Amino acid sequence: MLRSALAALLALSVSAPALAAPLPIKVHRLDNGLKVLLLERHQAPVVTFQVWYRVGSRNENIGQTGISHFLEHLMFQGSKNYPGNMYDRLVEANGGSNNAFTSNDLTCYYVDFPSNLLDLAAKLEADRMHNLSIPPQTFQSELSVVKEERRLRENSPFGQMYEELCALAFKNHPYRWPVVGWMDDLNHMTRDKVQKYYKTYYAPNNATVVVVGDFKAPEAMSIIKRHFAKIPRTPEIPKVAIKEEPQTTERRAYLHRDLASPYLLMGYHVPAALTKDSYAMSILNLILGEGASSRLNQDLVEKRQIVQDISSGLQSRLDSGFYTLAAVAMPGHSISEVEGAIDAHIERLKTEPVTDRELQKAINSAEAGYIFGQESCHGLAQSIGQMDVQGDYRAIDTYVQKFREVTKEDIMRVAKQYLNPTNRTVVTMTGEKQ
Amino acid sequence: MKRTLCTLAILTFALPAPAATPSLPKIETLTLSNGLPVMLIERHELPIISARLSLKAGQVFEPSDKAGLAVLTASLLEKGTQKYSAEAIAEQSEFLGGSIGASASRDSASIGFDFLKKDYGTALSLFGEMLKAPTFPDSELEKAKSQTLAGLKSSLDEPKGLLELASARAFYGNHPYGRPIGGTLTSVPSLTRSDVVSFYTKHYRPQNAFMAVVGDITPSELKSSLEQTLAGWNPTADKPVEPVSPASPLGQKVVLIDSEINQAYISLVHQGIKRNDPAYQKTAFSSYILGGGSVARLYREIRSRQGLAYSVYSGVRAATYGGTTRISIQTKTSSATQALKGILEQVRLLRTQPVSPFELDASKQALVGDYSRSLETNGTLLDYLTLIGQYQLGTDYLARYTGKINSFKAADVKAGMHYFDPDHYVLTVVGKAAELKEPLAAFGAVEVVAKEDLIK
Repeated sequence: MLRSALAALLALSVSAPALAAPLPIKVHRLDNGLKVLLLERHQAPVVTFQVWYRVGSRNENIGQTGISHFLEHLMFQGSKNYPGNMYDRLVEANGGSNNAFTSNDLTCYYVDFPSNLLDLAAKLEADRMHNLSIPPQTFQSELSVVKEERRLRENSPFGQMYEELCALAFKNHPYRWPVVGWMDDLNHMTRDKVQKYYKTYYAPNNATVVVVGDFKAPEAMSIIKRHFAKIPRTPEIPKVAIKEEPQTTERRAYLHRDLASPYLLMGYHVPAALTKDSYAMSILNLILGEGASSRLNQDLVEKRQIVQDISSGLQSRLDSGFYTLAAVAMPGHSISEVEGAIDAHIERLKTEPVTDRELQKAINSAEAGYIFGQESCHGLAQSIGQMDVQGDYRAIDTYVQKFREVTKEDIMRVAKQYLNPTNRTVVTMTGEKQ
Repeated sequence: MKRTLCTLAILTFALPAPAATPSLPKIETLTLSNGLPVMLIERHELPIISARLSLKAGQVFEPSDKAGLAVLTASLLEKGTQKYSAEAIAEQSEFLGGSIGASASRDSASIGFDFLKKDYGTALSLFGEMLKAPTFPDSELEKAKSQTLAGLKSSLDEPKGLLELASARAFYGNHPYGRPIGGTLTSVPSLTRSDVVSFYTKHYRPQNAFMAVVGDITPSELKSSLEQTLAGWNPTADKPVEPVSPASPLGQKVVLIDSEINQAYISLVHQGIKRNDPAYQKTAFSSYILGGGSVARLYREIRSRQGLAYSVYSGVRAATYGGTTRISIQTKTSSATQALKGILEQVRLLRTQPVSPFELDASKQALVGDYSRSLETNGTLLDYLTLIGQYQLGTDYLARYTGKINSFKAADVKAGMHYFDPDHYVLTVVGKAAELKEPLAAFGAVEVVAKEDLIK
């Protein structure tokens, strides 16, 4: 999905594990604070050039929600030396493909292209890091585009439910609002707000450039210096100091809409990305909810046939993680029956160790996933960039090892610690008004 | 106007020499002793193997009163074989971090897998069992039927799913392509195990199939391992009945599905072509210029300039026995007619005015670049092999692609717009009928269809 908040949500829930031998990633830091990560791979004549800004909806305030994502859209509407849609047109005319996404924690711009266009990519990205222009007419029409994007989400049952879930699960942390923003805040968006936001967060000292593919690192480095070194650093990037208080009681919302079967969505607060317990949660998730052979699918879909579909997602984020379980009931089965069945599986995880084979399955899946993840330069750069924003790009080298270190006791411990009713929020959507 | 000229001048200056033709993967072909054609692209960079067997066993081959039989049959292949239970198939493949599955689409069914090379033996064992020894247990059949029925009802919950169902039905009518792929509320309950067994017995045969493989394996390793795995799977004298092509609706037809949503989900569908039609590539090229990406005309005009939509695209869907060209957009209810008028105007413009040399060249570069980058992963190569096999495009398809795109002239773009015909279309809209019915009458006589009727 193009320039989309939802795409980010999906991309970031994919984990990227690692092999024993570290990837030969070269790291540089320009004087203006820009971090550069380079990884040469010569299998195919392809390069991906990605700029990761450490700004997302977590950096926003009430009254200007959605501004990070809206700014991402405006970044395609012209900069000083490349006005209008020249960015898109130049990339296209040179056989490249580009896009961007915004999440709670970050904004990523990328262009994938044949190897000989590194200079063009660097030049374009540097110009819009520093010289964005926002003509009033463009501002208005692009704002309408973003409102249409918002409406799309409202029309999907799980899209609407997810917004309710976050708004309820988080009381004061910015994770409570959707990346696309609230409609009222979009209605009150101004050019001044966006320009100020851009000047605050779009700076070399708040970004990482990740380049993966068929290039020579010294040459790439001199190109990147040539275009980015002249951009001044900004004095100080505001820190997000907001801390969500631990949840102590279960929270619930009941939504209604014309539906054939009831929908259920629940979310638990879990540890932030790259923490020790986040690896244990990943393994727990693989066993409980991922794939056809997972416990929930085997029991609820295959054996008892009380749900049509059940899925789980571990949102790995900077300030705190969020673990979601989503199900659509079979006709004739109620939400409370489905919830009861899910609860029983969660209780079992707390009281009974997982089997050797289940643990091994999760580890094997991480190891194979790492190898499959090396297929494309783009995918590899996504993993590196995400980990860098979340703390440390080197986590890509230790990921599989961290998986291997997770014990059965760890899984029981994190289940007991985090998967409690008092730590969860539940949103249901049913056809009949109750 | 001034800005456009200025932009073009800079762009022309910045245009590089055409990118070098990508190094092309070599396609090896071999034939097994049972007659099964196999295509292979060897890739040894990573220890992985991906494979897909495609069969003429899609929806289009179903008897008219057995809608849903193709999907049901394919889905049951992974639900129990002589050696493996349904759970064992899922657990064994996931235990190894690989995946295997069977599915059916409009024209074909397929069984595919992705595994690490070290697990290729297990992959083949699962694959061989699913293909040759499915047991179609009654309990799994009943479960699959009730899940399909539940899924059909739930497909009415999302406007996107509704639009897809409504638009296929409005365009194709009673042809199999017009039915929900999983069947209907009437047809699914009547499907029996013997229907499944007879569909399987008739269609899952080497003479109806081909196989595509990409990855870390040599032709000789592949041949001997497949001979062993597929031993006993032999052709029959049956030839598949060639389905009839769907009729193309003429004139203007407007179908409206009432739904309490805040946008109009719109699909404008025209007659299209079969995938192996020589005009396919030209049509796809024109569609790219019209609405293929973020510099396409629809994007620039309808999205960027008028701010009417987040998503507006055109596309070509070409199947074996027929096809469509289409434009889709979602816009707030009150903008529906403005957006449609703007879209039709862009269609007319591209049909009558020649594209500029710059737009022509930039579009070629974009498509050749996309193509060149698509050769990076095993998954897309497997898709190309499947395309070549399914539509008989020839193993030189990959080598010809770039030359074909680069040969297009402005006149080809006009010719490629032939099927985007602003006077003949089926317009399907999901949204608030009370607000949309009257304005939509400007585009043809409006028929309001109840959403429940789409799955009956």
